[in-house]
Amino acid sequence: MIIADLFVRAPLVALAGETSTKRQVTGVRVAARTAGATLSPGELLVLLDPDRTAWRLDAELSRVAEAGAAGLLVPGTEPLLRSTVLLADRLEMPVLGCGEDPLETAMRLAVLVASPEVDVARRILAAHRVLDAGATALAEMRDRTSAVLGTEVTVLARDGAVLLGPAIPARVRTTVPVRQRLTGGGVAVPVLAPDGRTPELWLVTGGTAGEAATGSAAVAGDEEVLAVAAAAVQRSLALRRVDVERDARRRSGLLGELLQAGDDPGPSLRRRAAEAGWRLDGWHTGIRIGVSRSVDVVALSTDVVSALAAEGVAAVVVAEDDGWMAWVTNDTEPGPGPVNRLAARVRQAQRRLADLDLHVGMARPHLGPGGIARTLSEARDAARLAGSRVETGRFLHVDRLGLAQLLLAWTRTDTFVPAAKALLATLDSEPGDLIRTLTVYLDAESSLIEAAAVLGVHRNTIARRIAKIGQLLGVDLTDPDTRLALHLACRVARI
Amino acid sequence: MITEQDVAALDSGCVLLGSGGGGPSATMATLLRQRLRAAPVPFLAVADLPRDAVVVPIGFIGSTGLLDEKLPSGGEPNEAIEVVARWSGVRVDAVMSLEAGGVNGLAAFCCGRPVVDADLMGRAFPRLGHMSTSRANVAAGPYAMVDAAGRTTVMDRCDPDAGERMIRGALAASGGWAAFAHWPIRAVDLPGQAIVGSLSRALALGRTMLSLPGRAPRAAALGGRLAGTGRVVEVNRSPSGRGTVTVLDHGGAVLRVEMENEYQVVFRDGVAVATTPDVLCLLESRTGAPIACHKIRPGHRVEVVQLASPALWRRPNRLAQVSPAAFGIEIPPCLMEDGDADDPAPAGGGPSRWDGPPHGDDPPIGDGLPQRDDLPIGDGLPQRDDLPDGEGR
Repeated sequence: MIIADLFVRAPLVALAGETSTKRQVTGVRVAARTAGATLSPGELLVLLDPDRTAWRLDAELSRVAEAGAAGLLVPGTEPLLRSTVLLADRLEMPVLGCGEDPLETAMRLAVLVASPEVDVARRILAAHRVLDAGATALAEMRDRTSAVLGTEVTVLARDGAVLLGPAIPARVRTTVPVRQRLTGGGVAVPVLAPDGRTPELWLVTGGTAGEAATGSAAVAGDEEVLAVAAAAVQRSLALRRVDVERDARRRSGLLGELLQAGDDPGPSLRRRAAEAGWRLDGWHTGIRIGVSRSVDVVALSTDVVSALAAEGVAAVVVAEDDGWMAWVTNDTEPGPGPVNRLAARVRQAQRRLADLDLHVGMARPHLGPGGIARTLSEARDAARLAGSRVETGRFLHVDRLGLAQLLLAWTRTDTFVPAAKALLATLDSEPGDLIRTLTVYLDAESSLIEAAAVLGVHRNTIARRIAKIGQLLGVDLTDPDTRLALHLACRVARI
Repeated sequence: MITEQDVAALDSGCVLLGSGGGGPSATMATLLRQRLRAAPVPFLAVADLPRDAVVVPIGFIGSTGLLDEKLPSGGEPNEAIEVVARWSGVRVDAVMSLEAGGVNGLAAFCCGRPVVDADLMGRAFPRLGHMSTSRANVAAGPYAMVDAAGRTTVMDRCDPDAGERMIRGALAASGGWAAFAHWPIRAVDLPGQAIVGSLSRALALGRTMLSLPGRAPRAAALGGRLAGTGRVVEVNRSPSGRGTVTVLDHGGAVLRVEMENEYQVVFRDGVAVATTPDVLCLLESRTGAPIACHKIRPGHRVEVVQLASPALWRRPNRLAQVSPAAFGIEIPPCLMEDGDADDPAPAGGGPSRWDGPPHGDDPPIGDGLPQRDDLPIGDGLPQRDDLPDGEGR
């Protein structure tokens, strides 16, 4: 153990000889009066009641240096006379001041020096005591851990960004989910996700003692305390997640019932919606927020709500499998102005969450309890279209959608797409690129000559293929309804 | 004889023996020049005096710095001498100095009486208890104080502690300083009671100082020892009157000089290397001028010089009176011994062992003074029975 290690464990300041804090400490000796105690090399001499301006301090310093002791500790943190400071520098002998009772500090240091593991054990117990208070907020847990360690703890996100606390000069290798000793005497401990492999957060101390402290007993103690804190944080996060998940499931169940109930929800459903803080009457404007990547939708719900709130959008948000449904309720029918403003705000919120890679659809306002289902359905279609629309920033507002696109969107329901593909599947196996031929033929208003020009073949070839298609599918291509169905199916199959 | 031409050397030597204290001497030097211009004063060696010659130590006490602000008429010392003479019933043949350091080294020459080459301190010390005739708990007297207004105080049968308290009280009432006459001493007792030769030492030191070229090594020439040379980096004065001067030696050592009215102890890297009663001087490096305790400030470049103390103070039974412990610094004295001087036979003639061996007779106080039958209280002399065991003869 070196002098510098003691600073972390006790309220000490270096009054003089700061450059010599790497001296080894092997023991602590307390002297009520100066010039009495015999000193052994490596001992730290604690003077209980010196006059800090008196010549005796200088004399003691010289005696301590001659004995090869580790340094001198005096009560109080007020500066020393220049004479003493100069002498300490010259003799390379650190003089420490302590802000608390010197005897108590001396005893603490004596235990620390004699058996560092006792101090480590005491700190681990202290950490357990203060951190075992259940699911407290992360900031609170960080503060409590800092208090136990006597140094500031920094919380890093899994990518190394600082979430709480001071910046850490040393580099933490966030890709390796194990405890790490940092240069400068710091320690980094990962908070693992419930799977036990990936780090969700990092708890890091900067370390104060410099290079020499790395690997010392004090750092080992820090590491154990941080490990206790990491376990507590993990537990706390898990508890919060259970709460959030339960709430999300309740809300999504409620929304499911509402969508089923249509315009006339029963009294029980109305009551539960009211309990959830949802208004069923009024004009609802639906917003669908979809995610393409696989992310923890439930955990991110708070981020979505706060992003919307930050833009002034007070929306009800319900997590789904691959995104969120949200809606805003107004007393009166919102005109084009307010709707466009809402759209702009939602767009800003989407930009705030840019790293989540969202696609957002927004619907027109609809009235009453059934309106929720209608507007959300519109929003869902709009969002689906928005997903493939990079040029609009993956945002679409139903008011701006063409009728055809909406129609097309409706064909992309989960029931139509498989049906369309099944319908055309028989053509796929045949030679002659029949699906493309059929698409071009129908796009060209059933004109053989036009289709032949587009495809660059003879019109008789087209005629033969069309006949074959009619035969394979067993349909009559002169029937308008049939033509429409096939035309839509071709569009879906092409995507 | 001492003439006007000797004043510069005497002044310089007395300031040196002031050990940083003794008070500013410029006013007294001016007064002395004016007196000596009118009539030189006989300067007598102790050996040249008749056995029964009566000598009165004379000087100023209190805040001698105030002599510059509240000027003496010049007659106060003589009045004080008259007072002790009347009280003791003796005829005064000559005067001597109370202390050979600072103002009082010069004051004895201002009385117009023959001056004996002796004093009671051999340097400057601050209190009554530091006189060679004072013993702890031994009452003595008479002492007389006369202030600028002629107010006269006679103290008798005072031990040093009580006397000191009375002096402080009287000084506070009388305006800061007073001329002070010590009880008369017979010439035959001077070698045992006083520091003999101290004024001629001051004169010799002063002549050496004046003759030294600008940057000559002064400690050796003065017969002293150099404790260090460097720049003052800190001066700390506490309300108690104590102070600390920190000198960063050119060699890197940290010198710490403890002071009160005088410089008392020099620590080098935390170890005491020179202590009272040796004379400790901080000489301005360029000019060699001694810097007084109340004048020292950060930035001064100084030589820290130790000069030997009088042999009387080195006697085992006298050392405690003026040792560092007597000033609250509990360390053993660290004094120059024979041969410690940087130059054992200095060219400038500075004395190293100038007043004999440290061991000698130590006669009791006031022994053998002329008796008087009509003394108002007692006989004005300490009783032999008052001496504690182990003290005195």
